[in-house]
Amino acid sequence: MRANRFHSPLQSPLLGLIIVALGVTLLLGTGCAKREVTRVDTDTTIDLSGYWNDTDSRLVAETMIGECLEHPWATRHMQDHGGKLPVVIVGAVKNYSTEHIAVGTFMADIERALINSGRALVVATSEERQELRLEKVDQWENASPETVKQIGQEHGADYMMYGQINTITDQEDGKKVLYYQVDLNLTDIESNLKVWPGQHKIKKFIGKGKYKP
Amino acid sequence: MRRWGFRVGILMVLAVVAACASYTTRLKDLRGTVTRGELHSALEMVDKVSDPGDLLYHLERGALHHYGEQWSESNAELAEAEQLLEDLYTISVSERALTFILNDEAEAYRGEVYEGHLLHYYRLLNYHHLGQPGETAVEARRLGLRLATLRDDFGDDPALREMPFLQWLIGAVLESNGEYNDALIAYRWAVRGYADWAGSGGPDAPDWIELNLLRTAARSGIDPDAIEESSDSPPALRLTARSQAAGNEAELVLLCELGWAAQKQSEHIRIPIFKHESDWSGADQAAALGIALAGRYDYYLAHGAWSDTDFELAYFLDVAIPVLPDHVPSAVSYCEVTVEPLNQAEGELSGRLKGARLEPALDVEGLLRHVYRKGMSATLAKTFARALLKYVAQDQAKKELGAVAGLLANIAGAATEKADTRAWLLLPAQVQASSLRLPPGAYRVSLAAYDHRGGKVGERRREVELGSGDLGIVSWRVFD
Repeated sequence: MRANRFHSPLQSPLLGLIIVALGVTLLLGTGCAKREVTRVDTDTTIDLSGYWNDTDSRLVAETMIGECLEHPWATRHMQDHGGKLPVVIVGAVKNYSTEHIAVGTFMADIERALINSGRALVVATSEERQELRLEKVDQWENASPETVKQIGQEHGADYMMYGQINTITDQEDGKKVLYYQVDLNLTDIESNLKVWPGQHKIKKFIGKGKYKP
Repeated sequence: MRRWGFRVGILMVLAVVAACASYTTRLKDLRGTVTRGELHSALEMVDKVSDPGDLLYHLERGALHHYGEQWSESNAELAEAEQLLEDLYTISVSERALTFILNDEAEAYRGEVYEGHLLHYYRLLNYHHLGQPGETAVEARRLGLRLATLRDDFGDDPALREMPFLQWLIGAVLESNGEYNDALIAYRWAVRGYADWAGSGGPDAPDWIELNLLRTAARSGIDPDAIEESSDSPPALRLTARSQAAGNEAELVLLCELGWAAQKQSEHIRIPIFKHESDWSGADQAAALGIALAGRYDYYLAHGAWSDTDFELAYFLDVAIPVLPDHVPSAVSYCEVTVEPLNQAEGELSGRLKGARLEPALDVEGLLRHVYRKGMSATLAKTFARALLKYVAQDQAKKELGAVAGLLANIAGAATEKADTRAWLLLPAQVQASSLRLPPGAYRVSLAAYDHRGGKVGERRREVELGSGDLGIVSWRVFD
């Protein structure tokens, strides 16, 4: 009585068994997928998760440093100092975001953009200076007199660049809007005057489908 | 020839059945191995049972590395788990379809909501122990964002809506990072969360939370008297809060993670299908009958009988369902902390000793049982509906294709039917916590665990150095 009432494909026992077998095969076969590795140019933009990545770090640094050096403070500094380039130290960039951003990479991108512009000189960070000083002490003990480097001849920075990264996240039903705000300030070390306040914003939309095959 | 075929068939069935053991059965020795301190063997055990595409692979490995104080390795695993959790938002229709044919484990495990929270809790601790306050704060913000995003989903469920212990921890981390406004908001949620939850059977708020809220209000430039969540607090508490806000003390957070959260077991049951129910057709009617059977099972649990009416039996349906064993209390009842100032230059103890008993702050086992109870009706209905479809397939195979086909269909159905017992097995049953305000300096911190008769069962000592406004966290995992 019950058997005669089944008509749809799902209710066919044979097909059911085939589906079970296929299912088991699928489940067992999922571990066999091969990993694919391809080398790509480091300037290529690849967005996988949608979060802050190397491209954001590089582009923000280049854009902000470009804006910074276009600002009148740089020209004014050269006018006031007999045409000498400003010397900048890159200080702390604090991460107040909800992502584990490699701040060290961002700071390195800022230093690179400053140096590559040819319009500012960059001095080593405080940690790097400690290491350099140890090296100089070591030279005094071990290097030949004609090659030994002098202590107390370091170039003092005129300006310090520091800043912070913030994010605002809004998300619902697999849709996410990420808003990044990067604030950088350039401050005259002697006078504490802020000579350039820079700001850069990035807005990203990350959409995810609820279903896949 | 037929005998050989029979033997091969038996072997194949045994192989399939072995592969289909439930998650907790496959990892039944994991907790014992961890308790004995054999973390390397435990890692190998997890490697054998799951693979890097599974959420649980990374969660279990993340916990194991954390227990082994390999903070970076733990963070790497938990980062993978977090990424997988995001990816698992998208449901695979083919996997979901398989769960109606095979069993619930045919679909990737998405984790319970509290497991996703605790992933961030462990990452936060890892970053703290790595000495990276900035990254610890990032993790606190990530956890806060997750809790805020999910708050609406649990609007009518105080147990899962606020997660007050985690909100308090977020507040402590952000306060030490100078983010007073965000810390204040987290503390507010913590105080509200404990108040809401206490009204429906949750634990009372630990004493120090209200003080943290009022202190952070004062630090944010808000009058503690204006804090709504603390309107009936004693004036002395507000005075203390104001005094602490103006001071330079550090905060020391003590955490004891105790025991093991209950683990689901697979239980086979035989539920009767009555004559008047056996004449059904189609998946939709199977689903409807599945819901009715879930109700019947509840009735059985409550009354010890399948029905209050003497219906005529058609047949029994065999299914495997996930069950939670009775609560087994941890051998450790409570933890106490003693803190002694350390003369840093000489490494000797000096000054006055400060002590406190840790308070229950997070009931992981309670959350697990709560989530299990909430989802059980749906799980049962689906399990019964699937079993009905399998039963009919077997019956039809036997009638239309013969006894051997019926037997094979029966074997395939039985071999693929198993309860979904997947869960993050290495989570503790509960977390006890305390918070002490201390002047900047070096300290020897002793955490001691006591059994129900007050006997000391273990002790952990750590030396911490706290600067002005710093946050120190000493955490201890007690497996007993």
